[in-house]
Amino acid sequence: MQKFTTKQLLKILPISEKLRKEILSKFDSLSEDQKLGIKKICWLMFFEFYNNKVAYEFKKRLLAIKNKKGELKNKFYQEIEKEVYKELREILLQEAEKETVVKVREELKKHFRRPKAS
Amino acid sequence: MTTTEELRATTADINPDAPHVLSGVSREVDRRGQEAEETLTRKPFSLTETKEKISLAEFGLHEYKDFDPGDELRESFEGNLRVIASQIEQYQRTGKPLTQEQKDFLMLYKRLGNRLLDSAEGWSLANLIMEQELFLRLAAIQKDIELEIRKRASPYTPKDEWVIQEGDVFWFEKLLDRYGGGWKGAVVLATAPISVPVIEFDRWIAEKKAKMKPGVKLSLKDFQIDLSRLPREYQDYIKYISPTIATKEAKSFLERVGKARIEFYESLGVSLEDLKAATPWERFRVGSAGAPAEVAKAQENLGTEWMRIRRQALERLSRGVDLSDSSEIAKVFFEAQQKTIRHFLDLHLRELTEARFGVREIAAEREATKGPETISALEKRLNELKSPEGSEEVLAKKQEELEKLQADVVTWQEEITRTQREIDNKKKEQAIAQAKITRLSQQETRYETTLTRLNDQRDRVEQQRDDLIAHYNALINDPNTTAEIKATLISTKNEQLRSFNERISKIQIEINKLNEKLEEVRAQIDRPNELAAEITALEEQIDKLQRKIGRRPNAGARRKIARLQTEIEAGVTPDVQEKIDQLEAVVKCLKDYDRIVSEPVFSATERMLTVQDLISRTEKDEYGVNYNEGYLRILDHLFGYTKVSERKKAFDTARTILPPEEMAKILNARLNLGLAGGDERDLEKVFQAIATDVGDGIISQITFASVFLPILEFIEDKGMKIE
Repeated sequence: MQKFTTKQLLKILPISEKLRKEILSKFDSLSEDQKLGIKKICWLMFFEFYNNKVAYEFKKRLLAIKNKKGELKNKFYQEIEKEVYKELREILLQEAEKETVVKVREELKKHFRRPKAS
Repeated sequence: MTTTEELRATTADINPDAPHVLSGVSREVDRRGQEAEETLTRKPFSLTETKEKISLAEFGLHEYKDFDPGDELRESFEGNLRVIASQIEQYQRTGKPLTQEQKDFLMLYKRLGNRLLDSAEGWSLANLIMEQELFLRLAAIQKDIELEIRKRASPYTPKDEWVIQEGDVFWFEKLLDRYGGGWKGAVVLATAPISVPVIEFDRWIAEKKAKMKPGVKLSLKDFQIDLSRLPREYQDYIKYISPTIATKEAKSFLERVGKARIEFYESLGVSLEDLKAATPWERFRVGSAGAPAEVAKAQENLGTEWMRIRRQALERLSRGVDLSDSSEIAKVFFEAQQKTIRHFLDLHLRELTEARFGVREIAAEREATKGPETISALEKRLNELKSPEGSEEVLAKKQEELEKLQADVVTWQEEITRTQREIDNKKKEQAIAQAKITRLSQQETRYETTLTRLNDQRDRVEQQRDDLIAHYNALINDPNTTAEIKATLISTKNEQLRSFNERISKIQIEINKLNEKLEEVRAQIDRPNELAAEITALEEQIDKLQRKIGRRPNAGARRKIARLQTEIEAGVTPDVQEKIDQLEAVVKCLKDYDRIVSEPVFSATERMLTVQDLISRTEKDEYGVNYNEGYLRILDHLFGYTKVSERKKAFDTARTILPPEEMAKILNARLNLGLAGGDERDLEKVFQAIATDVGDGIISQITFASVFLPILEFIEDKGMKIE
């Protein structure tokens, strides 16, 4: 089971930089209610984002076909959906691993500091 | 134009800040993140440059010319949007709920203002919003016309046909003119039962006027639009705008919108004739049969993006729907329109999301978010119920309820005793009154006989008096009677008159006295019946009180008292424990939001979307019912009931929160399965429809995963309703 979090989503969703930084910096200190509010918006946005991206890719391929740079295959739309899905999966899962690395790195730092401090 | 330019033209403004998606990760990202960023930044999705001109291709048309609306048309659109946004806002202030699309449009409009018209998607959205407003206003007009005609026609024919009378013609013309007879509300395609008046309202009115001839039968169906299946929000909105629909302002607004939309289509290179020809509804077996083939072709050629989206929505929503039912047609049409608007709202994803965040006050200059306090409210309630104080509070409340109920029973019993005593007294009185009846009846007869005699006597004396007066008057008025004799006659006449009047008066006094006595006797004769009615009323009162108390131990207050006593003795009551379990399950779900939504997106769907598994029934009768496997899996994904020791109990709690029929309704709505007429509550049918759509590639994994958003919303609402 691969789970990823709202914070990971926030890092990739298309919102202004300022707003993204602000929410990310405050996120952990927010109350459960506030977090829930943000989670709802982010996930709503994620699904809308996916639909938009599929629609965009669809439009792009149609244009390419019109310009004789591609051909209309069976299950054309479904193929695009699969590709977008794969792409998003890669991005998000890489993000997830990166987060783990950062966390482990933080842990390690603590371990190395402790002996010095003592 | 190069392909890249064409692409840019097609995609610009869809997502102005999209590069972040492609840049994906912030600067401190590790190598893998940078790789991802590089991969994505190579893609055209990153196109962000602001374009000065919009191409017709961006509207989905097969043209590469620039879209040139001109300042006047733009101002006209801006003005119309302002009016609509302001009206929706005013409506919102009445406290009535808006549709999600109305809410989002308002939010987006407040954020972007006239900048909405900086992109093809924005123009398309504005056009759809104006179109929606036209539909709603014309629906209000048609309702209004129908109402007026019913009022006018009712003296002649209260049913559905109206035989036109002399004088009706002028009245009808005046009535139609109130709504505006000269405007062309063109430019809405014939996709709805209200399409004819929408396309050419002036022509529709002219046709109706032409039919208005004395003696002609007019069907009220011509003016009816069945809105009964429309979402409640729309019905309420139509009611809200109805009272002002015949005003000059409303008429002028419709004219402005109609004109602006015709010009908009013209600037897209679409003529009014093309629009009239575009009738996709016919393809769904509804509408005018025998439409020329070219017309059917023309509709295909009108290739704007919103037409494609709407056609897809219509096609999907009209599956399995009885399209001979006008209420269904109206419903399907409005839903398709709503979905088309949704599509264009979603294309403004960034602005909309930022506006949503803005609403929740997350922006830097403001304090932390102030979302609805669901989790804390639920936890507070949970703690109240769980804490000793909470239990004590519950027990104290129950004790209070018990004492009140016991006191009530005592009061009711006292009331029964008092009423019974009253009944006994009345029965005694009734017996006495009954015993007197014979004597009273004889007395009544006597009084009546005397009364008849006295009335006759009075009439006779009156007659004698009148005869005598007439006799004297004749003598007095005789010309041979001397003045001296006349004076004597007058004096004698007056004396006689006085004497008669005195006699009559004495008789009348006797009559009045006797009438009073007769009334009294008659009242006494009626008394037993009166008492019987009073006794019946009191007996009913006793019956009611006895029912409240409970005639049997397991009825009325006696049952409640017994239950409360048992619960108080037991300490924590079963219903409280049930509430605690449900609240805990809801809070757990909401805190687990990320897992519940994210797992099905990329990994959990193998477990949930195996079509056969969704539909198949559980063989073991563990839960009392052989549920669909899909239901159990989704419930487990949400509540994890299989992972706890008291599995059956946890399942019951989960089932109470999200019963199969509610899950069916949510899935049907979210996945646009189009089930109706009760099938939308049948989870088996819903799963079958999902299976078909998954097989056909209509529902993708991510689309399916998105059902957890409305499911979680439902669970949240359910939790908030637990008292």
